Amino acid sequence: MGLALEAVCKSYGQVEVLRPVFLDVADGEFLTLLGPSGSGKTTILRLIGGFTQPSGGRIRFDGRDLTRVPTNRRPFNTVFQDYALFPHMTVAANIGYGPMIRGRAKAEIGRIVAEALDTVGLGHLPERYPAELSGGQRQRVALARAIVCEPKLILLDEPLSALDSSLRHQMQTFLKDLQRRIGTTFLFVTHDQEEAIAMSDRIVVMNAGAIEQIGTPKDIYYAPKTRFVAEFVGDNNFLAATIGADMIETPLFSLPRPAHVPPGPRPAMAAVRPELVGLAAAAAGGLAVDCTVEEVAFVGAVSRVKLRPLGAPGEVLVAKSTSAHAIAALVPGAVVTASIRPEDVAVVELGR
Amino acid sequence: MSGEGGATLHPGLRLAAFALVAAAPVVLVVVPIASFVVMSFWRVDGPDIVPDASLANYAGFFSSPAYWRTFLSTLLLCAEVTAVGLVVGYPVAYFIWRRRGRLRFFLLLIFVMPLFMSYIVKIYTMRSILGLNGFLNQALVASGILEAPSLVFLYNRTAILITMSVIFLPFVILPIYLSLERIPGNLMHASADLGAGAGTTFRHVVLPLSLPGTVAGALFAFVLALGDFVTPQMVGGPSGFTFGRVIWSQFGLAFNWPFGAALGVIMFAFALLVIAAAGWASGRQRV
Repeated sequence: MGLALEAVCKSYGQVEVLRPVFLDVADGEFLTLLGPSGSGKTTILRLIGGFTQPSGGRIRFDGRDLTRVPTNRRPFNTVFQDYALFPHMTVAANIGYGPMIRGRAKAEIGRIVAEALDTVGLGHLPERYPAELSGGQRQRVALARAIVCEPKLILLDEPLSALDSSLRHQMQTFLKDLQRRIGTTFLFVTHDQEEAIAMSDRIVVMNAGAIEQIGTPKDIYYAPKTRFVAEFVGDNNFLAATIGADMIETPLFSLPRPAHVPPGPRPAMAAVRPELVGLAAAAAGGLAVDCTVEEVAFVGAVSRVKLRPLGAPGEVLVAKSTSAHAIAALVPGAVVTASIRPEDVAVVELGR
Repeated sequence: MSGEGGATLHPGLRLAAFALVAAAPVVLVVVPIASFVVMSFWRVDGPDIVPDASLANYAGFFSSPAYWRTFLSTLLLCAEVTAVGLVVGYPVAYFIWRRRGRLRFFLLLIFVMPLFMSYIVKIYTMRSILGLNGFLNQALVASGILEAPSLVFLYNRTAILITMSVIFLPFVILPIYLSLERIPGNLMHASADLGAGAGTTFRHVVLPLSLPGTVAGALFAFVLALGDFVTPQMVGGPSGFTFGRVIWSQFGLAFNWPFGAALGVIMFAFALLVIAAAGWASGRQRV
């Protein structure tokens, strides 16, 4: 069961902001819509929340058609990007708003609110007004307000984007823990790929009003299906490739065609993660590429090494290494052998 | 000039500039009010106005029921104008606010347009609408509601109420509209998201957040009505005697300026009281 979008689309006049989208969200899942601004991810969230009406398609929840059901009758709650806390109400009144509307008794509302405040770690602040809270505290109030109505699904619209980076990491862990604890489906919108990878059960990568790929964080990271996904999520080395009948050829190496890639001939892209480019002795069965070291950039835990392949001076290969010892030997001009395991090469179809 | 550069003013020059800026409110606001208050302690001796330090003018007001009854009935009239302004103005402001794009600004422009027109023109317009051969009578006769044109719409207290309500309506609509427009759209979404229907959202979110503008609008209507003596003069007739007219008659007819000044001070003090009360009421509301 769960949530299902069936050919849901949205246009404003001539502008199509969301092309027909199909998406199933399972119960209890942490699903992230990931994409740059204008990719349609927030539009999907607003359509599910009922804040805008789709131009076509159906939204179902547990089999029930919700497409024309108004926002206040949908079993979902939203954490808004700017939190949308009621400025004239205390923290307790904000959190108790949903239960109050549902006609709960005063004492019961008090208990529900206290419980929610404890859940988000703000038990000491019920009488504060939103203007008296820090960004992180407002975030927690917004979260508490969304969970007290015990929704079937919580929609989160870039809720962490306004927080500074250390608070953001803290909240990521907190959100993920909370979701596991209460078991509610989370639909999370973000443009931050690291955030998406760290938190999600599944990621929906969006671009230009359409879904590029749906998959687990590992799928998305290691097996991008489109060039956009390969570029948007993490760093990648891209090489022009030709898929043949049995082999895949790139300017730097050739490898046997994996079984899941249909035989060519046709052009494609090969993508290799920099951290999967080995700089130590080539592993058995690895693809070896002799390079000169062009530049070594130390960026903290990892170092980025820019390599110029000897056999193809027009190409660049970037490697990332966490080993300080391996890096120490690499000075610009040195010749090294970069090694890549064939299974680490992602074949990206050109397609659309 | 000091050696720190041309942008730094000499301390004396700075003081002069400050004095110049401070002089404007002092000369334009404080001095007229103060002279008014001072004059309220003077007295009239035959054709002359004589400086004095007497409370006789104030005693004259409080000891004469005719004066403070007029004062109280004027306050009631102003309260009625305020009430009509709110009952008509809030829904209008709300309606304009709920429109989208150009229509919204077009409607707003229409409703505040009277602010650009002469006050006297507006009163004469109202007179011609409410009069015996006026638009209102013609419409009521034509639609069969009245058999013959009626005189009840002009030259009485109701005429003042109607005219003031119409003339001061833009002053009520504008601040209410502005406070509605300041409400972030997401708050309405959040309210609906938490299960509230349109009515509940209005009661718990829109109304409390637009209260400061509503109080400001009410205050405008009340204070403007309190100070207005032209409208009662023009459409009030003999029965529509308001405190503004009383003050005017002390200056214009009775030539008792000190007494008129005392009545003016009483009205001014009351207006300040109302403003302070309204400020306190909307200050309790957190926005």
